Amino acid sequence: MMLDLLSYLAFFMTMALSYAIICLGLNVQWGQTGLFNVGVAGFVAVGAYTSALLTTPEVADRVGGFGMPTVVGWLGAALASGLVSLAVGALTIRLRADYLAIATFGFAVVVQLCALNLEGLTGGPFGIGFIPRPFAELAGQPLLFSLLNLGLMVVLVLGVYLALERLLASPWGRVLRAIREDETAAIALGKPAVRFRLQAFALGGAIMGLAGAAQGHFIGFIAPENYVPTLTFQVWAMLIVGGSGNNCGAILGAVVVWALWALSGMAISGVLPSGWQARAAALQIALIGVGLCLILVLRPRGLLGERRTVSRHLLRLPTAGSPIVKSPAGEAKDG
Amino acid sequence: MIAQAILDGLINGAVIGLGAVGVTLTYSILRFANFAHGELVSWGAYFAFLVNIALVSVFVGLGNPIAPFSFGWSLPISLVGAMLLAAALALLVDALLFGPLRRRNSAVIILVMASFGAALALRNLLEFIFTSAPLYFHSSLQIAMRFPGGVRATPDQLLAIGAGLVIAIVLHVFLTRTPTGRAMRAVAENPQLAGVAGIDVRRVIRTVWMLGAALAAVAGVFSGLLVQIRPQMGLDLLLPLFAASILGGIGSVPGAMLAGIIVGLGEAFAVRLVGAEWRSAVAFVVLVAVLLLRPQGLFGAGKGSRAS
Amino acid sequence: MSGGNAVPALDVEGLVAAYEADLPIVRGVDLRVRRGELVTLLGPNGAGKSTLVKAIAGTAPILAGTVRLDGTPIEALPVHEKLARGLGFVPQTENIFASLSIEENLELAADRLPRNARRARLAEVTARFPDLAREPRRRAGALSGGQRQMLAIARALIANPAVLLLDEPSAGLSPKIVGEVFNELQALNRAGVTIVLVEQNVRAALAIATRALILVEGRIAHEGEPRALLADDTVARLYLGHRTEVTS
Repeated sequence: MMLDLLSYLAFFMTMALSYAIICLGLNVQWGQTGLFNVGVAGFVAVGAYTSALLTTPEVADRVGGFGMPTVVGWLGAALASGLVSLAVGALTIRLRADYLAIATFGFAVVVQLCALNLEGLTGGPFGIGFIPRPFAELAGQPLLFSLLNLGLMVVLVLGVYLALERLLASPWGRVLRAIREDETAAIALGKPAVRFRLQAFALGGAIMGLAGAAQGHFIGFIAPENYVPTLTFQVWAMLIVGGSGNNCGAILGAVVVWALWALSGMAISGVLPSGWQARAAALQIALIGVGLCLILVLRPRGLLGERRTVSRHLLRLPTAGSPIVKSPAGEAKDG
Repeated sequence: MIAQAILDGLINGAVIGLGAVGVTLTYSILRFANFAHGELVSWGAYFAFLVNIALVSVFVGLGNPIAPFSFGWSLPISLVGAMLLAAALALLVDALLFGPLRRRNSAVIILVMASFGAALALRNLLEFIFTSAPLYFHSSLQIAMRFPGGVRATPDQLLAIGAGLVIAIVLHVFLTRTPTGRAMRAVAENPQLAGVAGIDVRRVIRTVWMLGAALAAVAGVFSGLLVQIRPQMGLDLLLPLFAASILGGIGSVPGAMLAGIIVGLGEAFAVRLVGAEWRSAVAFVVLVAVLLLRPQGLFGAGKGSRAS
Repeated sequence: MSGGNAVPALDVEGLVAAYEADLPIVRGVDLRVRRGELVTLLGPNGAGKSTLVKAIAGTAPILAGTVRLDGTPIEALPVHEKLARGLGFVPQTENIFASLSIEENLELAADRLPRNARRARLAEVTARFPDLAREPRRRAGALSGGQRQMLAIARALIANPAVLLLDEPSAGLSPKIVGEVFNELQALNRAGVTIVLVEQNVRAALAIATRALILVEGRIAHEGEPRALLADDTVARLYLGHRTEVTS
């Protein structure tokens, strides 16, 4: 009983931490550059499928059989997602915030469509199974297996976190921060500012892809129905709850929201009659949706608050004239 | 073959156009991409479904089809009911969510995020209440009429095209010839100046929500009539709606309808060329093309979407 | 006219206005405008003149103070309500609807009037601005700077404002057009419209004003008769910089 609970908690934390990685990636995109990516699920999917394709054994009617080691799969996932992010970013980076949102949303829709329909590549609606799980040889000892996987995920999260913190303290990171803090300076910098943003966007996407791969390998199986707007929404909720712009907040938010998700799932299915599983899932998502709206209305700064600079992105709506400018410099102050 | 594709495209395009007209209005005046607009389409369809059932159970005669259509008087009446209910829903969501965020001068991104959350909540609420099993306004199958050139269409489908055109025209006249329409266009261009010119901007915003929601309900009812009613129907239409309103130029009603038809035609041809499962990709392709080549759309205000 | 001597047309008391709570731009301004005056607000850049009129009109946030129009406090009313009470405002930039036609710009304002008064008022105002009457269907965005200014003023006039606020109407206009605009403002004032005029074009403003105030760093630093102000060198140098010889 105790062991089961521990196993479950380990599983729970591992999943939560895998989301934390996606969150960290999104934080690079949003917190550091203010780019509003509503297609997170798409980038995660690209990573998951890339790694799956690289590492799974051969299957009839589908590309595969490379049988690469997991590490290669994960690196490939990050690379593929990063490249795709670069492409998507290049197309959309100059767009105003809501157009960027729509474009990235559309991108995610298309990725899911491809996953569903390009059966020769992705296995279609049935997805890809038999993805090699880390420590698979220890599967017979469930608790040890869970704990080792949790350990691996913790290492991964820490690795990404530390690497990001270092990167942000580096010259590259400083330029990025300068761009974020002073939009006008960014405009003055012109082209180079776009280049930095693009790099950040690609980096964020690569991290998301890595997370997708890690998730896929942890579960052992992926399918198109995993990569839907709900996923994007969960990650955004995590970032907002944790305090966007904040790497620690991203990780904390992921755990908190995942916990809320799991708890609300249990509570709802406890309350509803047993035949109502699909409905229960729907109600759960509906409640989380309402929850996020409440947070946005009542306390948009999240649990850990956020650095003042990022709040600029959150607080100004152009009150007149064309809505072209992303971060309006405020009303003309004059004499 | 091609003629049939064109007709299918027009039918589909009319529905997309109806929805896109609502999006273009709300987008231009509320100034953010409302991801929850698709849910107004879905809720509109479900509202109509419920009202229809209620009406027919009390006044059985209303269910008798008006030849040559598949529906009786209960459906148009339900449509009106659905429009009112959808308008009420939109006002409620605005009062609870977007209004407070707007008053706080929240950034566009927050509004979009909130709309995303609201969309998720509304969509899943529908799924909770009705499950994802498809519903229909009527159980009988309609026989398609034959036309020269070997094309077929049902009277319902032709009605959709007609309704789309009529509504677009009426709306265009409304926007260009009436005081309220003028006020809406003024607020779309410059809400602050509109206030200075004496326009009650809050009232215009409420009007736009009601109008946008009513149009969404019409799109939802036609979509439900021609295809089926499911909780996901609005989400499936969302990308085409955005693509069409951006292609048409945000704020332009004729643009939105025309662009809706273009997207519809694109989908019809794509379905024939690469298969029905790729239908949703067409809207994305259109969207990317517009954003890259001509962000202000066909009839846009000429400003485009370049961020500074 | 009502017993206007007791109640000022516009009464501003202790006005503090800012865009960000910790950065007040208008720092406590008292301003009393009597009916029929043409008061001009002058001062160096950054003094807060524009913010002051915007705050009175309602397009800049008021942190403290009151604004009374004909004795009625209006500072808490929404912008369109202030207009309904008789306050007109011509902003400096973006003061017309470029995507609407000239006609529509004016009809917009006329929509606020009772139905039977609209046609008459529109005719009255367009008679004053024959330039605008010539091509009513023309898109306002296609107008020249001077014509836009005239349209903006015409639009504000339709509502028959008791007090008309203008924010630097001469900005960006050629001297000849400035002259035309200011002649029009003077004529309006003589016809009974109370005007508060923020201006950088000191000479032109002082030529038509009945009273002048100088705003420096958010406060009224000096007040006086226009002729006296023009003659006073020290004042000119201190507050107006070297811009006393303005193209006019």
